[in-house]
Amino acid sequence: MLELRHFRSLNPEWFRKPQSKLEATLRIPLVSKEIGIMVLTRVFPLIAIFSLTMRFLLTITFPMIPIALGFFLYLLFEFWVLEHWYKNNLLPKHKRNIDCVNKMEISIDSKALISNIEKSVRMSAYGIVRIGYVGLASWGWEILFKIIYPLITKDNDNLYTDFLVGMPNKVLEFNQALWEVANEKDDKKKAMKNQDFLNKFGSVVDDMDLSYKTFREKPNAIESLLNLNKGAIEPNIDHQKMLSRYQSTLNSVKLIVPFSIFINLVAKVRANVALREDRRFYEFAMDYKIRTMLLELGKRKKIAESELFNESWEELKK
Amino acid sequence: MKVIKGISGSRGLVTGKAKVILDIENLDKFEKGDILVTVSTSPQWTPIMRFASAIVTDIGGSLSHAAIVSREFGIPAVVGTQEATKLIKDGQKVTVNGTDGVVEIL
Repeated sequence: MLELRHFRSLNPEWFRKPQSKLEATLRIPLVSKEIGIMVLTRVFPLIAIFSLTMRFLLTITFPMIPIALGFFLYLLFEFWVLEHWYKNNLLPKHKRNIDCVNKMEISIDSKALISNIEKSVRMSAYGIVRIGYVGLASWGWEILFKIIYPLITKDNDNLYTDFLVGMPNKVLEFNQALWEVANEKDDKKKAMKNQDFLNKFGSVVDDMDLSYKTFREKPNAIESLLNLNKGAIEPNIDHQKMLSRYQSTLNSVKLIVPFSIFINLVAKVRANVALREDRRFYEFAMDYKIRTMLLELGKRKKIAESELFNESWEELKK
Repeated sequence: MKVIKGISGSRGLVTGKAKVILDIENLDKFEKGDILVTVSTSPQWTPIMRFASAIVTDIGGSLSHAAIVSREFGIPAVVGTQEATKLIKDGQKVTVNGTDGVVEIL
């Protein structure tokens, strides 16, 4: 069975705890299937096209060189197109799926409930894999910029990371929405804003496992955060400060390439790096609803929450 | 004085009171301006990070969530220390040098 902890070498922040049996038997098989589909329909064909093109253009007989060049061109191609694909194709579809899952009713009929759980987990796995794949560009551009930056600048006190601040993203939206709830004086409006906030940002998770509580299931944390936000500086104002810092860094940079080239590069890097938090937000946006349905199924089967995620999906849906 | 070495996540130098928090459900002991010491951060931790004066994590690299978000908030971060949550005690005064990736327990 695929164990997610084997992928920890990609990023040690992921999969720190052993995954639950329910996650391993419900979502992971679908995630594995979606990875297979992605590799067969996107990764392999692109590498093959670029490798074969190199093979014909360079007339090199040693096969590894065109394959290596093909792989390199595949990476550059994906770096270039993934942001567009994410914003114009993937995200609109994923948002429709999130909407569809969130509108699912908790059916009285347990068979219908099981069917809805399976349908929503399929949609979740589809999104996780494709949105995860966009990480190739959001990480790739930063690594590329880290390498290129010292080669195209001179005598700079600035680090490459000084150009990667002040980007509007989901972190800012999340903090601003929370701040607005905390600082709303009118009780009725506060309750409405709080509900909107929870509906929009409440499904944020700690890691990929349906056994983990989502943000909105942690009332103590939300209460502490609301208290900290009361009277605090508005996140949008803090963001403006970071934006000014970025602009002054940009004004002081000493370059050995034309400024127009540098600014276009920085714009592309910022657009892709900003996707990182965006992706993290959308990837697990269905988890709260899926957990709600699973907990309801557990309740009907008289299985406590502490035991529910130790069950396999096959056992649970019997 | 004990020195903990890690990876530079976000540059800057801050001295302050450390709060070791392993679960965001225990945020009640955190006060504005504290230095957040934790195993690693995820999007659930994002709203607390803007109130920290610095971040120290056990796990992570220069492209980790803690490093990226600290950078966005303009606060120092030392990541990948392996054992900060074990060596630093709640309320201890520490200096976080995000530029060099070093934490000093004062």
